[in-house]
Amino acid sequence: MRSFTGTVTLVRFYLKRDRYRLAIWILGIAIAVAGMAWSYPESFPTQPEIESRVSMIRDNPAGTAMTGPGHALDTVTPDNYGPMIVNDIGSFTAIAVALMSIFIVIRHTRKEEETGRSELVRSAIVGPHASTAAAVIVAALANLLLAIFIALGMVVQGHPGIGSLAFGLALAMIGLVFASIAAAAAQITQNAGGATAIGGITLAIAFALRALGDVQESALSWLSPIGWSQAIRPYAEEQWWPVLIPIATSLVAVWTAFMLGTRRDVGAGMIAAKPGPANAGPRMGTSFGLNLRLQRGSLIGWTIGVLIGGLYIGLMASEAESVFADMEIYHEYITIEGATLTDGLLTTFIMWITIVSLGYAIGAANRLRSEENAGHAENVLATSVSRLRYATSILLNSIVGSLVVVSAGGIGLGLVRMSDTGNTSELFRMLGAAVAHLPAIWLLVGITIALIGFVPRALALVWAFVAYIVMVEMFGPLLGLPDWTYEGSPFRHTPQLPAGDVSLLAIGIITVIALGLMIVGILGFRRRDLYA
Amino acid sequence: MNQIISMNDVVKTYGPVRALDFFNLDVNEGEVHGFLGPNGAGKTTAIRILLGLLRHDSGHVSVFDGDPWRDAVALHRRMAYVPGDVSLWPELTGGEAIDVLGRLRGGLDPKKRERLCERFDFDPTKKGRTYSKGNRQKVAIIAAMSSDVELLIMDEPTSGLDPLMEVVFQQVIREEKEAGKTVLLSSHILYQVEILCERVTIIRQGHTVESGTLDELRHLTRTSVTAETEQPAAGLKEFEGVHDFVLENGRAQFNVDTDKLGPVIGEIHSLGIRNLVSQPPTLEQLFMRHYGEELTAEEVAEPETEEVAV
Repeated sequence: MRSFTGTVTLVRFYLKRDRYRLAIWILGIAIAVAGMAWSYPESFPTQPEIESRVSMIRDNPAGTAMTGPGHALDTVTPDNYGPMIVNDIGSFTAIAVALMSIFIVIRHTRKEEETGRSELVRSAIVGPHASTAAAVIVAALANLLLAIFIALGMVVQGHPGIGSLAFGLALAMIGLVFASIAAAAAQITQNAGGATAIGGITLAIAFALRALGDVQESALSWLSPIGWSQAIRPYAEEQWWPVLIPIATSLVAVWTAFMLGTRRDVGAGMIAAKPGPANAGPRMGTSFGLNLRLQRGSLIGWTIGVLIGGLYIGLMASEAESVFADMEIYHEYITIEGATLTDGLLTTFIMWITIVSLGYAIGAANRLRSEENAGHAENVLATSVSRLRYATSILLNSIVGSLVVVSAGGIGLGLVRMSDTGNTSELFRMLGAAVAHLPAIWLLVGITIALIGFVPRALALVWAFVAYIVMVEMFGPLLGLPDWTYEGSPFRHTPQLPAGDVSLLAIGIITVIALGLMIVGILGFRRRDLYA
Repeated sequence: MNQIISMNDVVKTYGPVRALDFFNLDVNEGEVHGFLGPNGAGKTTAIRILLGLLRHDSGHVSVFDGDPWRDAVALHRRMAYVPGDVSLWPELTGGEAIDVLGRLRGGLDPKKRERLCERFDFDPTKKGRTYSKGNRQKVAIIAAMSSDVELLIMDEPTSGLDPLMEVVFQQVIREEKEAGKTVLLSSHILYQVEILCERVTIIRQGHTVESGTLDELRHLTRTSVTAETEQPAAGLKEFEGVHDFVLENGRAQFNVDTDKLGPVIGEIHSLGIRNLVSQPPTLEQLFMRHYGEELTAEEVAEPETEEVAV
């Protein structure tokens, strides 16, 4: 057990370091779950409303793919919303819980090695496995607390105790599995970003397997940690034995982490870092070229990701048409009057793709701030690159990059539509519909740049705005939000294609505001001191 | 001689904090100018103003007769900067970073770049995230020195280099000086400034406390002398400028104001020299004089309060 000497001390130390961070994660997720559960009696007060909602999720492959297998949805009544809540919000909450766990573990393992701080710790009386063990223990404790809070939140709202406990436990099991996977991933790569990416990709695969398995009603779901947790069936005749699968998986993953850990040096990865080029490529001679090079990985990743997303929802949409052709309730989900069912559905999906693409656009614009904080901007601005040129090149990467990412989504969706309908014009119709939302993306880019130019400390406001947009556009119909709450979302004012009309005036106004904010922001950036 | 850098009565505040408080700095063409001061004295703030990264509140600043804030781009073609803590892009190799910085400055000399990589024993194929502090600093030093510029501004450039590399650095700086370049070298490594610089500016709490050639500054301080003489040296105690005089077993130890050294040495000579050790003041002593004041004041204050208590 000497390998674990110091584990308890490290657990205490990590808990102390992370006390606010953990509190925000745990309370954030627990309150979000409780809040969403709270909205159900109000959104679906009568049995017919419950039934149409249930059939919308359960009988629609797209709905099933986004949620879960839908255990015991037949039993849902105005006195028993449990199975519906678990099915609707369980899979999204699972993503949040998994990310929390991955971040906790990577932060205390690979990240510490990367910064060199772990050398300091390892030189003390600390066993080689102590930091990995402590990180997994802290993540497990966080998940345990989260399970308790989630269960309490449900019990307080009158849901059955056993089912509430199962719901919390099911989510905590996902966290435990991904914490352990992250611990193994941290042994493999030399940098924390790579280890987090392995965790994230595993999560994406887990979600996809579960989605596919639930739509096909096949055993694929049993390959996914999210599927295991849904097999616990909270509020739907709970079964407890599936808990053993995530526990066994975690033990294997943590054991693997220990094994890998003993086979490498501190600071090294299983995959050795390869030497890179000794000279810069010819395109890296300008500020724009440099930024493009630095953004390359992110741009490629987002483009591929959103392309796959487009293909995926294209497949969902084509399924939906055959399943839902004569389902009256589904038309309510569609905001544009007079549109066909498919076009209405596509309009909503295309908007979602573009909202997801915000992540790239804002991230790329935010480099104006993150490069300054990291001290990289100082390197460049001490050469003969003006602030105007520097800021503009970062902004251009965001604007052009968002065009590429959004187009990839439109093309992915369009390719599926093209093969479904045999009509080439469908590709361009989807591409155009996606690109039409770009002014809304650029508006958020403009806000980002303006804040960086004048009040960089308030940058979080952009993400608050994004959170609001995601809330109303993705969960608004689910939560039955009133109409006026949608008005603040710029994606409501860009053309709702392919179902709606194109308003050049709206596009023009949003674009002008976006450009104005960008110009003002760059002027502010030129005028102010560079922070270090 | 042309003035390359001129800062007159420069004030820079961060909220209530006065980082520069009527600060003065003059650097002449072709000189290696030492810029000394403890951490937090305002060295980096002054340098960042010279680079146009910060805007000063009042006073006059010019670099090559231009305004470093307004004419930043034009001026930066003629100068290169080595920050104190070099931050590299984690995803680029060191070689890529050198090329990028050089090209953005208007091009670099590939042969010189290669030679410097060899001399500094630098591997340009590693990713930025894997370099140690010293290696990150080499990136900035190599990029700056391979550029064809007239002015080098260096903010504690050797703080991460090992002693061997520091010798290489000193050689390289001398070569740059011989090539006619002007260098502003901030440091708190005093012996390095002593070796390299002919003129020095000392900053403390945002204010220039001393500026001049090393010789000019030395005359402000005391030389420490240890002498064994054939005849008793007790009379030395009465000489003007002699301090801290101790006589033990025929050996006299004292400090003397450097400008009063002549008559004292004359007297020692006339007493018959057996052994004489005279040490010039180091910059450490210069520094201690400027920064030791608070220390001394505290040391003096404590016994006094004790006396009152008794």
